Amino acid sequence: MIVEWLFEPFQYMFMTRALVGTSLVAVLSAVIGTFIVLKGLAFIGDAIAHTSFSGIAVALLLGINLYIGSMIFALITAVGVTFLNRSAKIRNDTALAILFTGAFAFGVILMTTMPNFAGDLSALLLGSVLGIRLLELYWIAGAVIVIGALMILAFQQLVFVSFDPVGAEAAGLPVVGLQMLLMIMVGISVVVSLQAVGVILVMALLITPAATASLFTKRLSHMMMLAGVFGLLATWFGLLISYHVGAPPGATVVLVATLEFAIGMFVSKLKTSIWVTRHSTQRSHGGN
Amino acid sequence: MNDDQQMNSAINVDSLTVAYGSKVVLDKVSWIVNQCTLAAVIGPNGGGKSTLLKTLLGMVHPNRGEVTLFGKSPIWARRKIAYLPQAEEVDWLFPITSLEVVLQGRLVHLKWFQKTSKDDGLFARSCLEQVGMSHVANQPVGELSGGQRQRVFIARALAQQARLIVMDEPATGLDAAAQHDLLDLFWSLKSQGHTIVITTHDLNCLAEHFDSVLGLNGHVVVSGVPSKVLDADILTKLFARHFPIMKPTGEVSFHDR
Repeated sequence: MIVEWLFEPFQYMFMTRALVGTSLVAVLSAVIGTFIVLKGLAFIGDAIAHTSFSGIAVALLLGINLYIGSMIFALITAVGVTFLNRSAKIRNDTALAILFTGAFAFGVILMTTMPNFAGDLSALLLGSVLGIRLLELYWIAGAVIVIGALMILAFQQLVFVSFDPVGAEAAGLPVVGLQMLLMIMVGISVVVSLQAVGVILVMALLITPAATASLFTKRLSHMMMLAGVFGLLATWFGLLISYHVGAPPGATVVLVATLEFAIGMFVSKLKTSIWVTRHSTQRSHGGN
Repeated sequence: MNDDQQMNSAINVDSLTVAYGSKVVLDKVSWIVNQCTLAAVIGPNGGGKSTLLKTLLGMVHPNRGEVTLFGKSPIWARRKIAYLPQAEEVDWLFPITSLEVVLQGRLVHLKWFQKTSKDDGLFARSCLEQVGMSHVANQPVGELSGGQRQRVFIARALAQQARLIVMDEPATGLDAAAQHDLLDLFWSLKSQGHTIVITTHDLNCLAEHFDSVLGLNGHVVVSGVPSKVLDADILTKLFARHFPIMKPTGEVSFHDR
């Protein structure tokens, strides 16, 4: 019965492709999402998602590959954000919010000028994980390979810059270049995750598993691995539940991830209170 | 200055002028620090202490004048100089262990995208041992006390094999005992051939035990040995405030304007 519940959906090709796609996105999110959570880049990631939406609109209009369109807009935003930090006339988050909502509005208007936009719009906003095609899997797999390789190559340098940017600059590391690299990786991750969950929910997929992992460990490598586990569990169970219940898959995956976080919060609070109780009991025993 | 002096100096700042836009932060500052010296920079906030340090590190470029470190320009001397940032410049919530912080010192010697080796790891451990912090090697650095964090960062400077260690406000947030421990460490580093430059607000505890003190308020107000610099009249001039200081005898001198 359980075996059937777990495996029966995957006799359909679209479910298998959805599983492979979301699993790859979960792995990607574990690595990049951990940096996003630790460095508080969620808002920037959201901005990238919104501007890449208008990139998709432009790509649709010009009839070019959607990934290329959204990737170009995402990368421009990622690079722009790196330099935004250096000017000070207006608060960063305000400037960013103005830019990305403006870009998003531009994208919406552009979409409505096109015939048969309605279907595309809802798929873009909420994702269409069951519609993932083989070509899109290649894009996601490519992103995993590129970001994985960059991470392996520049991990220590990225950690140095994230932990102690001034010290890293003094040591002669290309700080701006590394910060831009991190932003670009966030941009790539956002774009390839869009297909699964859409513009509105994409940040949840990137940050929620990493945030859950951060409740349980203070080692960066452990955090990434744990985020991967939480992300994979959320995507697998999310897809299965959505299949059996008939709920929208992207939203279900995000909801399962949110549930994991809630349980994680509860468990870590419980652990702390047990520790405190034990500690105080030991103390009072010691005192006697 | 002759060549001999140039060779023996760790830092040679010659008529340095730095301006941010139209605001002159450092005006014709000249300063020489010999090798194997403990040097402190004191002065009011906004007096250009941090700017001077950042110029030494090659992070701020002089509008006029020249800075040489061990006879080279700051960029070329970079590997020999380690910088310990102010506490608030570091993200203490970032999950990183003490040993991983010390290993960062080795990155200076590597090429782009090169990773640290096993030997680097062993060397980093020996540096932690040297500052008496081996026992926290695998502990997140954010969980350590202020004094322990300073030691881990000094171990990072040692791992970098830096000859000049530059610290911005290392004493801030440390209690008196931790400051004295830090001072002891400075002495032992000096005896091993290191030159140390710090900025500090703590005149009684730290600065008076240093070899030379620079009083900076946009320009050089005073420079020399602590007994000359740490004088109530001079300090009042430097900080433009009444400035009581405590002498080793316990006597408090107070300049009354």
